[in-house]
Amino acid sequence: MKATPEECSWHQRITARDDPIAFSELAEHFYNPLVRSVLHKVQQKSIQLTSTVCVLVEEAVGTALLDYNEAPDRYDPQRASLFGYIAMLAYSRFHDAWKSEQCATVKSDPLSKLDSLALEQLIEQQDVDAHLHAQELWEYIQRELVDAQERKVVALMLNNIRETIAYSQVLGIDHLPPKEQQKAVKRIKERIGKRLRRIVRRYQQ
Amino acid sequence: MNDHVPSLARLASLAKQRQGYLARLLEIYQKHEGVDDQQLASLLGGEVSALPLLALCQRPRPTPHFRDDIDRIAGYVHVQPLALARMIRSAEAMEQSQQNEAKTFFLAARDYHEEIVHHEEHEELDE
Repeated sequence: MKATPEECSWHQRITARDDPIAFSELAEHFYNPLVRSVLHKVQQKSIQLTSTVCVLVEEAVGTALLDYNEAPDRYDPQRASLFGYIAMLAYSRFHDAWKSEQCATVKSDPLSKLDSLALEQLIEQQDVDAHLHAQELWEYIQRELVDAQERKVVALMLNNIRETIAYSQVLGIDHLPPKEQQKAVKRIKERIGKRLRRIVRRYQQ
Repeated sequence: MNDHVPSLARLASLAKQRQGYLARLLEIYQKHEGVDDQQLASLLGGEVSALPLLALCQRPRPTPHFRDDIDRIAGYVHVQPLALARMIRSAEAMEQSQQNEAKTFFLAARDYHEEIVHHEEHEELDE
């Protein structure tokens, strides 16, 4: 389906690069319907709409919108509707993120049970034993991590917070340029991830 | 989870990581001046609920477009143009100074590293 005249007009405003509010208006207009549309598609694929999934969908829609705004020329109004194009981008981003979350869980080795998604899903399924186990594990992790900053980073990881800025704020590096922040956060998350695995291994022994 | 309510604030937060949006400047200003959303909104003479939309606007283009862009943005999110222009100019200056600091830090780190390597090479030659 081609772009509607209204979508063509949005697209022209975005590509013209001379209207500072064009993207904000586009987001205001499209964001909620896009999130609902992608959530619907996700549900059709029999994926349970946990809060983690909803967050992943919102991130995917947000990323797709920002990506479109940065490279609007990749979109061809003759080939698809703008809404459909961004929804497709968003679903694809969600799918990748979901797959990597799943891989981290499924690889298991019980250690990857620590994955935030697994923990959250256990709790959402109201499996009391599992919930208690997760709770106990969380308390153990907190005891093992002496450093308050590391505990905060772990809490963000377990709550499946993905935005770099959240970690940068905890680490006090949010004044650095975004790329430097990303590098530093990635390095620290990897280091803490390794530590967590060691802690869980000890916990399981 | 069907009752999930999407929030533009999440998109605004993602925009902080990208170039060209006001999101990053707002964040820099808030951090530097220690003002929360409510304070920032009243400083700009607007509503807190408009901040995510403001964050998703593109940065105003340099002069001669600056003033027109500021008026356009201010009209869209219902804030005072002058207050918005002042805030953006301050945040840009803060951003510039942060970038300079970071650059100085990395150059100093590189010099230090080179000095160590140089020192080690000398030690090896002495041996």
